[in-house]
Amino acid sequence: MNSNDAILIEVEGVSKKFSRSLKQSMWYGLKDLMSAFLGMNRNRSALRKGEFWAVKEVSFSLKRGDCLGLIGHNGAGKSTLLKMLNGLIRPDEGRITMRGKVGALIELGAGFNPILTGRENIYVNGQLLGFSRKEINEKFQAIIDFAEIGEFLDSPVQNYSSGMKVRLGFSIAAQMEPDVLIIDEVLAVGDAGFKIKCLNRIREILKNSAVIFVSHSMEQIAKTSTSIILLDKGKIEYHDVNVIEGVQMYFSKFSSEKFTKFGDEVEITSFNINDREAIGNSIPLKYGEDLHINFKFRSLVDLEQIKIVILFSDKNMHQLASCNSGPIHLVGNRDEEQSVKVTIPETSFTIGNYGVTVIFFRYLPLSYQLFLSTRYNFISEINVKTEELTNLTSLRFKGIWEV
Amino acid sequence: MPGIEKKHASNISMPVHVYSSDQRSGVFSTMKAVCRDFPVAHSLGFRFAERNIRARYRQSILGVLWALLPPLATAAIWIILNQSNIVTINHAGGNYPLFVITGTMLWSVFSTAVTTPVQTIQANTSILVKINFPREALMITAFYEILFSTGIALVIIAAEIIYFQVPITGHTFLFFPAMIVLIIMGMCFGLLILPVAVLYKDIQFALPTLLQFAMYLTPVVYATPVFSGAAKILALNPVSPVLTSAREWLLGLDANVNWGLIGILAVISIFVLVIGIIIQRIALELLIERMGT
Repeated sequence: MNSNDAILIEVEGVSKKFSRSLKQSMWYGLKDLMSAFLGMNRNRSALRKGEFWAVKEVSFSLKRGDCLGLIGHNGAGKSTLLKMLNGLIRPDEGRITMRGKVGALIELGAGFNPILTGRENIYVNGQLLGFSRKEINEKFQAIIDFAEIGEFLDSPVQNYSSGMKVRLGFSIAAQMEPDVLIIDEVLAVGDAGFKIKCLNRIREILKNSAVIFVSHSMEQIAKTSTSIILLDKGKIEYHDVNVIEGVQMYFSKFSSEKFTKFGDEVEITSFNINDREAIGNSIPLKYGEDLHINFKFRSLVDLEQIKIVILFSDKNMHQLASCNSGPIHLVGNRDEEQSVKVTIPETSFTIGNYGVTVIFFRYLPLSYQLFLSTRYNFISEINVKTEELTNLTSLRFKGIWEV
Repeated sequence: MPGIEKKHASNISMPVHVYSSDQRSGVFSTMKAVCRDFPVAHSLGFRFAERNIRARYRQSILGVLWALLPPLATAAIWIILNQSNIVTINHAGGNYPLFVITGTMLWSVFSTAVTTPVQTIQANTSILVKINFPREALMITAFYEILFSTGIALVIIAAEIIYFQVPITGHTFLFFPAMIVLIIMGMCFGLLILPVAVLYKDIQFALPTLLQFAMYLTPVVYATPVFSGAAKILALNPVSPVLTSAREWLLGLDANVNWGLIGILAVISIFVLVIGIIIQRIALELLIERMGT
């Protein structure tokens, strides 16, 4: 390809302001309308009362084959920036230049009418995305093949399952062959099988276009992006080709409650991972590194024998791995501190933040039954830095327990 | 997708979009943009209208008849009031039911033309804030929907013409251009209130009442009074001459049609319509950022 070095997206010092209050926003809207019609050149770069910068002085450029991951917390300005790139709203400062055909995977199945059939909706949605009628006729078979909606094609869309609806929406959008692609959080939809199809199709498009891609899935960002922008309160906080570093910064921005606790038979007095106080802190970890957990607890009631389970979960609180102790006979009296040391060799966490949950079970040897005693959840604890990107499925670590 | 490589290998004429803060939305540049986008906007707008009409009547048994019920009900009330001599209406002679049904049908065409542009924008907020498509498409949708309901009104008018055996003369067909002027006039009002109506819902809430009020300020159920004080107020109403002329041409009562006035109103309406389309284009860009998601 000869056009690899052509810059397709150029964003120069772009800012956008918004108003916090609805009433004020409506009033400013009216004023803006008046000055637009009267041809007055209003001072767009001054903030009026109650306004704030949703996006402030953002600049970057992308070539064909580049994929920019745009991350940031809710309200950081990602969607506003995408809307400006898509030409929906105009910047208050700066300039955006987009070269080539622009495609946006923002709202799948936009404009679907529930009463109309899938077939009818394909034509409406396709035209909305910029296809001509002739193009839709040509791509029609490809769309229904991709969507796998089968005999539902002539049923009203309201009879579709929600999965079928997004599948159909994606299949229409997937027919685009854009030079510039804007993706907002819709990377993969549907069930597992369809997700793979989505990702394959997106990867095909990625090769031939400049892509801007917003997601809260850091795994997706890390896998696809060639550069990364971390937005915070509208400003670029980090912009580099080092995607992993950007993802790390994103995770370190979470501030949250230190832990949650259910039950009150047991109290954890200290909890260290790799010799660092772990509750409420971020523990860096590399792929394949050993994990050393030291913690102290005391029982507030009489417990003879317990079992301890340590769970690791991702940011969505999906349990990924667990590590169980054998039966632990509590030697001391109640209120006496017990010290536990666990070593988990060669952990295989992929990049991300993991929460730790510790559960104490009351163990009754006669009935071999476990009763939930106390449960601790620590949020965003283990911070895995790695170049190696693996898919971690639920697995069980073999720990070496010493009490 | 084997097509991609080929397409990208020869990218001589890639479209370039520039969005910047210092772009001025001048009247002529906006008009040029409207003309450039027209073919795409038209086919998309037509598709939307087709979708809306299909979907609207697929779930109803009486279908399009519902659109005719309000004007027919108004006509029925006035026919009853007149025939029972509760009120005496000056209607320039002739058959009163014929006169009033035609009047309310024409008024329903006008009021649909006023309300549809705003309604179309409101109904499509979700795609306006998410997808970049030529915004005039929605005005074209509104236009076709207005044409569709006009078509239904025409069926009723045709039915009454046949039933009451109204003689058809050369002048009868002047009814059609007059009705088109009526539609354009209605759309003008609709487009002019659009920017404010999108921001402030008050307009939308007030519109049905205002239109009802305006109907009685227009000679719909009565004929234009000639020498009263009210005539002076009614003379300021630009809809009156168009509506009454259309009716008079159709029913062969066209003794006092002011041709010049109709011509001037037609030219003004078309001019205002063009302005209205430019206004809605400039306005929508500003309004979309205030619409939220």
